[in-house]
Amino acid sequence: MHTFVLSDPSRCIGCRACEIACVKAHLGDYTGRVTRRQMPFAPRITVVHEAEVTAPIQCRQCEDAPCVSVCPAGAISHDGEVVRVDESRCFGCKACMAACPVGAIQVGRLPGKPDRLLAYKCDLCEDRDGGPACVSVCPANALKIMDGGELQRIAGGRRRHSALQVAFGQR
Amino acid sequence: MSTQVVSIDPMLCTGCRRCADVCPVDAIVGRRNEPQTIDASRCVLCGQCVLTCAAFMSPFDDGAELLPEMLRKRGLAEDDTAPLFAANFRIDRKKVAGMLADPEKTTMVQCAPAVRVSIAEEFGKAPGTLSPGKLAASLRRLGFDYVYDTIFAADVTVMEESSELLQRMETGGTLPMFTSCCPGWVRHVETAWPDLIPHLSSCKSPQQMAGALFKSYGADQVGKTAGEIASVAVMPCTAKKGEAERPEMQNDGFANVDAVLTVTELAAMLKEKDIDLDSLPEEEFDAPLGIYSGAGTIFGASGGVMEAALRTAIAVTSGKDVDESGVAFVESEEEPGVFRASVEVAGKTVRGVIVSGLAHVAPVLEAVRSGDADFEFVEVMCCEGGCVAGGGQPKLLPGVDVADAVARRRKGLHDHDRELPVRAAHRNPAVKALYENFLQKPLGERSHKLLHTHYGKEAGRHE
Amino acid sequence: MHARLSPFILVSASKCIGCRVCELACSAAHQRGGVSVGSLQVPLSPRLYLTSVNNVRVPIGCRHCEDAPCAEVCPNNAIIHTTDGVQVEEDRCVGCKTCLAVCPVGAMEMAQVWKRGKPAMRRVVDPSAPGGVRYEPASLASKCDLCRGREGGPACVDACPEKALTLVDPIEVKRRRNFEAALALSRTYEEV
Repeated sequence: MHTFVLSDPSRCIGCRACEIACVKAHLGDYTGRVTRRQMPFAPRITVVHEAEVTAPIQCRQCEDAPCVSVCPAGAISHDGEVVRVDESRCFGCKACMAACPVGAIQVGRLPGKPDRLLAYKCDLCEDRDGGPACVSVCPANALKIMDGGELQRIAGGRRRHSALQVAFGQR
Repeated sequence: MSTQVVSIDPMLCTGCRRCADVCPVDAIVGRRNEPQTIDASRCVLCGQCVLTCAAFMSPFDDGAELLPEMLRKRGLAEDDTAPLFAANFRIDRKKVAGMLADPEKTTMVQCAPAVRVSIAEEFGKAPGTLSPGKLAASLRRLGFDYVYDTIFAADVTVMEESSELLQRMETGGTLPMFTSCCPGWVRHVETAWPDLIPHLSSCKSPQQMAGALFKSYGADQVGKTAGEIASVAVMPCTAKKGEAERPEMQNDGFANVDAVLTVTELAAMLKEKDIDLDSLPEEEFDAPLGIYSGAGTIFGASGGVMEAALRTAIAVTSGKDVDESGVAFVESEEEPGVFRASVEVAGKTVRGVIVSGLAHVAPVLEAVRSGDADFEFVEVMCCEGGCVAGGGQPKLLPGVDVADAVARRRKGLHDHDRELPVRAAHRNPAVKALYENFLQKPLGERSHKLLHTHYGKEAGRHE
Repeated sequence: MHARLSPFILVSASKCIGCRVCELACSAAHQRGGVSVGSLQVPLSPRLYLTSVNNVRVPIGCRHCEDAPCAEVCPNNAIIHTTDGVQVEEDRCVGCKTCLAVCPVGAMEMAQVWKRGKPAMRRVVDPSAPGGVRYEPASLASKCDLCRGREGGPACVDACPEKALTLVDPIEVKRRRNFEAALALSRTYEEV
């Protein structure tokens, strides 16, 4: 199973440090100034900041990702740990944006590629030492890395808890 | 790596002891909720525990990441998707695959009667679906050079064993005589009733007779030497794996049977090679060692050995050929699983007993031990219903009526018997040719050397 | 009390012997095959899970919660409340795993399931495969579905050799216990 990062809305304080960290982690070779045109602010994580809820939302690296199925260019695929956009194939049709039930993929300009409108999304900061930047920077511990093993541990632990409850509840 | 034929994996066993409930010899020991172990001094390798066990490794178990290693330990490929159960039998697929791939070996394979009424179940068909033609075709597609049949040897067993019975009756030999074709039963006598070993027929089982003939008569037929033959058997049985390895089951230093596969192992090998049983054409088994009669066919059902022997005994002694003996064996309420009848053969009354299931045999053996046996011939099958209910048969899912499935498999064998042109062992033309050209006569010197043996813990090398 | 509360499957811990026949029956009931284990076409994937902790070993499965967190959190409306309990609509599941992360019982797993009449598959990058891609089974949300559509109801309940699993109808249970409590009370009052 793919690893993904999941947020806990009850912990999020809405500071948006995760968005900034995400942008910073994806600058690549770009070292120019931050202006609208040259370095678009393109975080792959979006903090929802509403009256009802405050929480960051990013890609769930779905096991049967609809963005993969829908892409007419075959630019999105399951590749190792992540669901990955191949920028060389993408032509910005936005079908993936329409398909993603979470709203985790978007089309826009990326740093250093001012002439292209490309789909981009969370890539688990694969090239970053220390893993996902958002997780590292969050001051409220609201973001958690869920790898396959982690999910198994969570589910197994809860089942064990349930088993004890069932057994003792029936005494 | 465990080389035990039947074992219980302590990593998967949950200690429910459903296996202990079905073990006919109480060989499974352990406390509830703890991994069980098999007492090798009692176990007869029947594999009923394997059929019953539902404790499998779920993909959601803690430790599911150990699966590739467990598969490797059991001799399976790391990407094999077959479920692993706690009670399991030793897999010999790699061994057989090696023989098939070896250019120096001529492979000869035999199939027990029960295989042709159960293999189709592994491909989604109803229990008892009779498919001998597709079975033969599938073995050819796997690459066996000669596709022979255990039933041919079952016919030979009838010749040898009925002659032996008559001889014992005429010369005051040890009576009653017990059949020896079921290795689970033989092992039970050796471990729990060793004083009764002399009652066992000296005949090897049809599996072993077939193997011995493959490497002698069969080898001659195709211009090979014994050493060049790889002898493989497909069985509904796990105990047959142990039987093939018994030190006395060899001739001139060559094992009669080199490897035994269960029906489930064969089905898995076919699926691995994308061979779909259902879409194969009907083919014949090879001659001469694949020609068989209806009498040998019913060996796979409890009572079949007895019926087959009677057909020949009656015909040979009365001169009257019969398709069926017409003898009805009757079960009494006091003795469940035990069937009795008597029949006139050569002016003598022969009283026969059929025991279906090792759990029912003790009272019969007590009578023999105390000298009160009022019968001459006993057929015992370790698995209730006969080989069709063996430990190597397809493992039936929960909710499937086992007794009904076994009954359908038995019916498949009886239906096959009735449709065959030759219904008695002595009329099998290939068997006649075997005696005429090779063995000369039942219990003759060649038969004695190849087709008979000694049973018991001190069974020595048989020259 | 709500007029309709979804039934769910509950184990009696004292009767359960940990044999896993329920899991085997569940796996078989959710795929195509014949009468034997060897005839099943895909790997075994049960929807209830034998769970061991300390001296307890029982199967745990979905409670079909009235306010199911899995249904709440699913971003694609693939988990819905029906008259047959909380159901995963496999055709809508994208395998985002969020339901697994939030289920408090541990009843959800990601497994190979059937989607549109065949095993759900996905395209994966594989440099060693022809064309650089291959297809493999996709893991989607999988949990107890009360054997909706199966004649005879839940396979696990049928199969359990110790009759340790029951389909609990909470309203029925409440009615029966109310009645027995009232009866018990009425007997004491008779004596006064």
